[in-house]
Amino acid sequence: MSVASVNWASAALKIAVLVGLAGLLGWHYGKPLVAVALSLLALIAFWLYQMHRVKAWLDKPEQPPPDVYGIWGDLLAQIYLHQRNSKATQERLQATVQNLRDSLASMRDGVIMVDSLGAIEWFNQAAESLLDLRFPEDQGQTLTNLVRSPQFNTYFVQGDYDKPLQYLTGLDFPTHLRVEITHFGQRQRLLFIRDVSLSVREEQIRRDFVANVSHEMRTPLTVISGYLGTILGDSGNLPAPYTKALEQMAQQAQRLENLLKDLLWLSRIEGEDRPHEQEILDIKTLVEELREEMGGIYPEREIQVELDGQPKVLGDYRELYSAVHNLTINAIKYSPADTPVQIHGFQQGNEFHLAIRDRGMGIDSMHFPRLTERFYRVDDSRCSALGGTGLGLAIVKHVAAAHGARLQIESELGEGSTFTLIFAERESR
Amino acid sequence: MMKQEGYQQHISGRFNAELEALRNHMLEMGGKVEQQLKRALEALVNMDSGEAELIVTGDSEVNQMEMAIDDECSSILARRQPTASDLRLVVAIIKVNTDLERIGDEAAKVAKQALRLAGEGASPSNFVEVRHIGNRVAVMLREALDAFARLDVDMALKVMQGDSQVDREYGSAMRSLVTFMMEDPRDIGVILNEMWALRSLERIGDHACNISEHVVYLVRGLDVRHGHLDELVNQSGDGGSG
Repeated sequence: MSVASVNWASAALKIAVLVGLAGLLGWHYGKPLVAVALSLLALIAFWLYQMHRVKAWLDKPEQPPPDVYGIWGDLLAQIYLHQRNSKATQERLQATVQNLRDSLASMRDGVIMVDSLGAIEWFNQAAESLLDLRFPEDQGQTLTNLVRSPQFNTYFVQGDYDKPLQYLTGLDFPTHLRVEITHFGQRQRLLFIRDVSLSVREEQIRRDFVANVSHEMRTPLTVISGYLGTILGDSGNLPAPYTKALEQMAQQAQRLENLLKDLLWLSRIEGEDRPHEQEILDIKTLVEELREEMGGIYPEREIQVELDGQPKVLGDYRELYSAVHNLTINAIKYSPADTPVQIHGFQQGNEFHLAIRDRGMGIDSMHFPRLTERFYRVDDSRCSALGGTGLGLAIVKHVAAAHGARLQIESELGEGSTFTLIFAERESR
Repeated sequence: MMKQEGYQQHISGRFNAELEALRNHMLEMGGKVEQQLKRALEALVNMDSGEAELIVTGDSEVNQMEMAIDDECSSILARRQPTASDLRLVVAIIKVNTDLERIGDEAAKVAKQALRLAGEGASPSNFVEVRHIGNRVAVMLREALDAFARLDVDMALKVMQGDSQVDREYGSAMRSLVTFMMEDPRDIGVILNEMWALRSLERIGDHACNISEHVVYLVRGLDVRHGHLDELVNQSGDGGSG
């Protein structure tokens, strides 16, 4: 910014000349002091007049400034320059803010800005229609007074916005809304609201489809494997080539049955909002039952159990059992017959770890991210030969998520793998 | 219309905060009651006894809220001695509080009928009447609470005018249910339960209407109970929303 210079020296000189001349003139008439006083009075009057003009302009600054003489003119020019610059800056800022608001306004997601006390500062059109707000008059309203759903209220007030909230609203047309909140500025909050009804419905249809198909296919399959069993029980009367084929058929039918069973189980536990049957589970009982079952299926395998103390976890027994069962079966299948499988439960800090360890061939770490996907196979030919369904780890993942636990995978090629379920501390334990 | 900023003019910032908190608590209770009603309707129509059970137990939560708000009101009256619009706010909230609690009770009654119906089997009417009147009443309640939050007299008037419509529909629903009873006396038990649920819904409509009347009282200082509605409608026609 260039600064207009104020010529102090010239101004001072002019005053000096004026007072000097008045003094001379007064001296000529014999009253020098009166003359000097009069000249100064005139100067003050002139300055007052100039100030008045400056003030008049300041009242209406949108007009160009008046021509003002001398030092006042210089000052005025500087003020004017300042004002013009700040006006330009302000306009630029306003344009930026307007631009931002326009872009937020055009978003298809609802956006709401809320101040530190929970009052609405601004919202866009999408939020208006999603939450039934009204544009100008609802600014300044407390948001929870208008969006009164208890779930929303609890989520909004508790202040922990790591996970988005999904809730059902609407009377005539039920709508699933997903709300995400972030903090910004001085304890202000920014809310993003999206209508997810469509994806919720699609997810529901997909889940129902899988469940229905699996269920419908089980009945014919039971008939097929039933007859196969009957025929094979009488295999002495069959020609040898048929026996082999029928045995294979029975084996594959069994595999198909396992697959359908896993699919049904998976679609049952997949739903996020299903009611949980939570109880306090004794891990020891669970592991003992598991060891007994494994002893029946794989009598030759050794399962070492080591539990520190009396660990207890809050959850659903059947679900948790299926998860640990799947991990143990995997450990048994993917390790040589002469090596033991270890189940180790221990407390680490606030978390309870349940680790299932094998001494098998291990998994390359590049497979880790995709390991829990359905039907993902590290080595396709071998896995099918072992008779897995490809759904085991997907089930484990869902059970873990439903219990607020996470699945940790550690593995080294040739050394073996460790799958650990890590349960966070819960108040009710 | 009274401005939102109306409660921010007090010298004592704490008084403002108390009034604002009172209003927020009342509307929070309103939200809870709205949800109770909505879920009770769903439980009834789907004959879901598990859901109905939850609503019946959830009513005690509403009762707790009512008592907490009453305490808050009497403490404000005693300590602050509010006047003018502040006094009207507190008085209106005391009254709305009672209405909300009653609505909660009626919703619990609907849920109880749902429990009974879940045991007895489907109704021949297919719950068309319950569905229809239930939705209407739920919208009325939502609009009444919105009117309270926004201090919107026009919306409150709309709710009050809608109530007579609900009453008429209630009458015709009763007649059609009586027809079902005459057609097949074996259904009388089921239909009676449905009638009780309808009766509760109709009462909820009346309470929503009361809430709207308190909104008018709060904003305009006018008592529009017992037939002064026409006066207000005329006024509102002249002077907009004030």
